[in-house]
Amino acid sequence: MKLNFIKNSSLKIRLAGSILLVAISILSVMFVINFIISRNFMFNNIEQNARNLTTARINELEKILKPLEKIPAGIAAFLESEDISREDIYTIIPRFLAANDDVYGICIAFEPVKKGDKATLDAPYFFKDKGSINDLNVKDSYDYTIWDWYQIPKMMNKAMWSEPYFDEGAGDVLMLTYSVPWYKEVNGNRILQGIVTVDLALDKLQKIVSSTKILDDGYAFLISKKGTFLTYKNSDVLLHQTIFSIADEYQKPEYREIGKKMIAGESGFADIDEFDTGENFRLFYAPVKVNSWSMGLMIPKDELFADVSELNFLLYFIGLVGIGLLTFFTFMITSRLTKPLKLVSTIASEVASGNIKSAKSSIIELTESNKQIDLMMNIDKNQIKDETVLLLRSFYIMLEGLDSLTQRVRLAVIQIVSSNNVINSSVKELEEAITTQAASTGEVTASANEINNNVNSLSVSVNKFSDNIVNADQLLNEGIEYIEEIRKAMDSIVNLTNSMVNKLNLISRKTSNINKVTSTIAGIADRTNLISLNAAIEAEKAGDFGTGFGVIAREIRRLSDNTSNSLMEIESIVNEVQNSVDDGVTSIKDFSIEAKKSYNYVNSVAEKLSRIIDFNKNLNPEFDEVNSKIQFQLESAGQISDSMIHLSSNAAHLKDTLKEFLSISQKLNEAVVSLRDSVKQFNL
Amino acid sequence: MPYKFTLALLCIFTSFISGQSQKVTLITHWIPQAQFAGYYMAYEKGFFSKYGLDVTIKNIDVDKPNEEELTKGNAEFITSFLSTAMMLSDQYDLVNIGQTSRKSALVFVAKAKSGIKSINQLKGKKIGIWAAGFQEIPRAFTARYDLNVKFVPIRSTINLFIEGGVDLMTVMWYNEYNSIINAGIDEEDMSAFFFSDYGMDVPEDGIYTTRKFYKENKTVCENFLKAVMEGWNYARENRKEALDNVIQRMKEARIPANYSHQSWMLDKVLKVIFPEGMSNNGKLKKSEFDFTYKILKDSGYVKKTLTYEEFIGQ
Repeated sequence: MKLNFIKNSSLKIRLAGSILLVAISILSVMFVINFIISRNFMFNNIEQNARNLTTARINELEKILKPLEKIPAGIAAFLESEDISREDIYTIIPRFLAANDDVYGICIAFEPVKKGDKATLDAPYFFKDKGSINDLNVKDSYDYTIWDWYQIPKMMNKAMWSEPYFDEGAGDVLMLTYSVPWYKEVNGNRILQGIVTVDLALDKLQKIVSSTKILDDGYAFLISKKGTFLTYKNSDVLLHQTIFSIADEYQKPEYREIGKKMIAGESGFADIDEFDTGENFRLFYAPVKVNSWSMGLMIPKDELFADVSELNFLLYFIGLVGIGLLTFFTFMITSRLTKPLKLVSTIASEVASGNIKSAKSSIIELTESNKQIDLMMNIDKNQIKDETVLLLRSFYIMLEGLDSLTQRVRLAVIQIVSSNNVINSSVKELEEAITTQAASTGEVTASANEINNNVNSLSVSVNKFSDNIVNADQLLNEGIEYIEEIRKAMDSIVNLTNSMVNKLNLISRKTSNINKVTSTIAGIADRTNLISLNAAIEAEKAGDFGTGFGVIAREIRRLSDNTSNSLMEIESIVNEVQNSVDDGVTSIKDFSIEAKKSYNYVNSVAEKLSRIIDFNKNLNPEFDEVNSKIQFQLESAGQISDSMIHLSSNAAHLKDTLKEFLSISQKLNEAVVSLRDSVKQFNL
Repeated sequence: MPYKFTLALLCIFTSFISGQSQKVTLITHWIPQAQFAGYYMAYEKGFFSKYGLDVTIKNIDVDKPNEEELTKGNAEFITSFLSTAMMLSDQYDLVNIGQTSRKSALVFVAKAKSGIKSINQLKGKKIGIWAAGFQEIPRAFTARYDLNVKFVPIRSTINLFIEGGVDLMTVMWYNEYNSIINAGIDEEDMSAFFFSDYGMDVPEDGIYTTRKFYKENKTVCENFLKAVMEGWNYARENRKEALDNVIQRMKEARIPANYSHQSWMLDKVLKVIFPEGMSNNGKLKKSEFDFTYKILKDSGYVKKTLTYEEFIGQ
């Protein structure tokens, strides 16, 4: 899994967000399902109510209309079966009228009888007026044959209900007429004799429909078979508008579609917006079959869903509170979960900046007591369930490791520092020794030169003496003086030689001192190497935190390797010096022996000189021997001088090597200082 | 209302300069509806008063021809169909003082489901027609095409047609045509035969008076026409106002009224009065007279000779 670093939001928020998202999703789904189910339930319930209510109302309407249909039908049958006189009509019809409360008027309109060009109209009309029954003849008012109530049933050959109309005579009420044609058989043909009608005021029917209520603001309306509104809650619409003119005027094509279904005698439900208010309604419509009207029941949707909405609101409220609580607890838990993480992160930062001590104390602080730390550390890792504790535990273990590593490194640094100090003082000592050695060598050289000179002058003296031996007599006394001088010179040579041997011994001792120091240094270098190796291994364990150590450890190891190399070089040089000094000492010893021999010999010469004087003539060959021995002495002195020169040049080389060694030591020192600084970072 | 007040002042002023304002009555040839919106506007907006006329507008009782009202002295002016007026000109001594309509709005309508699609299919069919008159042109139409139809006079509704008591219905494009639509029959479900498409584009509504009145009151007649045409122009420019007035008049007359229907009517009537690309000064053209006269003469509705000049009072 890749970590998404782009989503730079806190774990707390992401965690809480995810939980809330899931919770809200589940709640929403529950909410929607509940809404749909309860809505459908309510919907079906109300729709069933609406259906029942409408059917009941329609039944009421038909209960009024159907019996009324029977009145003209009965009269028509009566007219068809009997020859009825005008008097009969004027007697019977008012009785019918009086017996039927719902009937406003009854008319018997005769089909005009043609007499030449003129047709005789006759339509006695009986109507109620202020409690009494009056009559008139319609023919006096108009040609009823072209009126709908007469013409349509006649043309259609069937009993029919008229479209409602205003009748001013009936007191400005909407009227409705049921017309029944009646016939007579004339020569086997059914010939129309006229139309019998009953009139009724629409107000009773209107009341039935307009008193229909569903929910708080639900209402019913009635339309005629032409779609004309017969009842509506807004009386402006009555008779003036058809459902189709409404559709056109208010640009509501759904009214036209529903209207077509209604006048076609269909029943059903439809969604409809109230044309004048725009409010949403559920419409149930069903036909009044008796007269092909249609009744509509408008159910306000907001009320229809009011109960659902109430339930939904409650659910919504509970849901909101729930989500609120969930949010609160999620934040609390995630805060608690992420708080140690934050601390661990702080601890890690502390470790990174070297504050191991404060990092450890932070962990201890976090676990509240050392006991818990111990508990945490001693429990088997697999038994710990809390990831945070596991993390802290791992962190603590890492810190412990880091701590011991830095402790050891610090100790190693201290060791290195002290070793370095020893090296420094040893080097200084060595330098002094070399300086002393140089001075001694100089002195030896000077002594050797002096010996040389003395030997030369001795040789000159011997030669002179040899030359002058001829004049021995004369010169004997001078010879004794010379011999005295030779003896003195020999004395000084012997002294000088001794002191030279002493000096050389001193050099030899110092040189072996150097050897001791170098072996000490070599030992230190080996140890340094070992320590740095360890440090490197520990650094590897410490991971990123140990990278610095690792680099320093490598540097120290490299320097200790250089030190070992230099030491080996120094050792070889010192060995050479030792050899030269040994050579010198051997030469000087040889010279000393020879010098002592010469001295003894001079003494014996001096002894013998007195006798020589005596034996003057025999003296010459002995002097030759002296001469040759001096010659040998001269060679020995030259050898010493050479050895010394060699020694001197070796010493100079040694000095150079020591300088180099010093600079290496200095670098080592610097490395140690840097190491010490690194270690210092760890506040142990 | 400062406007009305100004108007009233204007009326008083005009009556002063022209002496006594002339009281006249107009009886329209149908119930109040948008068909007469121009007359109502001429009245409401003071165009009649402007011309020194004190006009009373009345509606005809649809059961009687309004030409009778002229001779009875109940009205100085009536509106009527050109064809009807020509037929009755001799009987009532009518003079055409204005011709507002320029085109025919007559239509035969059948239900599409009746299967009637062509004019030949009208043969032998029952056609509803207004009992009160205006029958001559439809009859001339069916005679011209030799359709041998049976006309069924109907008082005023389309109910018989809706019920299926007649196969076709004679309707005015601006009136019953839309009543059928507003009774739930879609225009697509109607087969319509517009008279104007069958060589019967006879102008219709005009203004008539008696020859006697015309001779004595020529200026009044001219002013009356001017005011009416101004009224029509006003109605054309202010349809909403004109409609509101029509609806108000209809409600006062207890006639079913709705904006949908009256708006349709005003729209179509204005199309007939102000046909596209034609100006209308309100005067009957000789060509219009001749065209109509020939149809009526040919179909025998006019028997006596009638000249254009006679007809317009010259």
